[in-house]
Amino acid sequence: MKCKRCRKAEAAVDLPSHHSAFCPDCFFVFFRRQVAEGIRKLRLLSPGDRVLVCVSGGKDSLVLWDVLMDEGYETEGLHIDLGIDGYSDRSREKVLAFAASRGKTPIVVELAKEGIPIPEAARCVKMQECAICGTVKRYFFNRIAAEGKFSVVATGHNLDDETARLLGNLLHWQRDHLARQHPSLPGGDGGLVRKVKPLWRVSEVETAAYGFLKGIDYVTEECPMSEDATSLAYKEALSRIEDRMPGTRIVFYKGFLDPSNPLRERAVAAAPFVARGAEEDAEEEAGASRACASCGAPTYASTCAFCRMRSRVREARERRAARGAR
Amino acid sequence: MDILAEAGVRPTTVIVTQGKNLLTKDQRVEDGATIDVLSVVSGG
Repeated sequence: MKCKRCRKAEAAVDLPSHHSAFCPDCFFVFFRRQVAEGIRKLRLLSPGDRVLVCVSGGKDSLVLWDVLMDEGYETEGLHIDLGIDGYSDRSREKVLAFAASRGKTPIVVELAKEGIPIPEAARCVKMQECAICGTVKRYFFNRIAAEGKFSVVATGHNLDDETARLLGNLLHWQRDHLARQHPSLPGGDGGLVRKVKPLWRVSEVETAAYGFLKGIDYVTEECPMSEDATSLAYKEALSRIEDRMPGTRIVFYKGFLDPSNPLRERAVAAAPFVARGAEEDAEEEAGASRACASCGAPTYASTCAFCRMRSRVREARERRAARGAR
Repeated sequence: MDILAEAGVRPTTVIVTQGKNLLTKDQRVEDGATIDVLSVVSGG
């Protein structure tokens, strides 16, 4: 199969959803254009932005950082060490090696040192592991961005991630979650930093192919704590549909984002806090945002979800210590 | 593509590599050749 763009070289990436196939050089052009177009269409970034890129060590976040640097954005990387035996060490090594190859030193937050390693939190808090991890990561993304005077936080969520989330939200009619789902979540008063997902137009296969062809060494193993993640079931369903009807995923997501989509209009109207950019968990209380009584972070409850979670971990630790002392 | 179908792997969930090259679905693989099928699906 020849590259459909240059018509000379052999194709290395076959993309039925775009009715196309590209050689490595032409695929780099295609991929970067897809990301740039996604940024331009939704005005995710501007040239003057200071971008905090959240890098886990996986393909998506490292590819995102690579592309944003190549596109000339001012970026710094933030890695959250989740405290998961072995897996976190290997993930961190990948981030540090990639950063070093680009002359960068990422900011690293160690959850064990912060008193809330994810495995321990999962034992103490009655929530799905991925939901705990998401809450903790969002807290540090925002805190580090606000402290470091970054104008925007960027994450590596891709088209597969976003459509899986959309399918889950629709199947359960999670109207408040639908209202909050968008590649751009605005910032707000009280230290809430804007968040963007510049890879929303590219699939996991495309991101993986880009990473492989660029020689980016990413973590290929799956997080051991995400084996039961519900998003995997939605991804499985969508990939079956995509195999049969290539291009369905992007049509599904673009249709959702279309401002004239009545579902989206209703969703936004039903959740006024979106305009202020809140991305909290379901426990938040209605009303104006305020500073967390414990840490000062923006929240809609008296104490933010992160501090409540960390308190539960601390209390459980103290109970264990007390039992051990008896 | 036939190899993936035989293994029950959907093409939208993996990339297939041989050394430093990516393979497309129409490429032939010689008997005895080593290829890697890498899952691209991440959860969480």
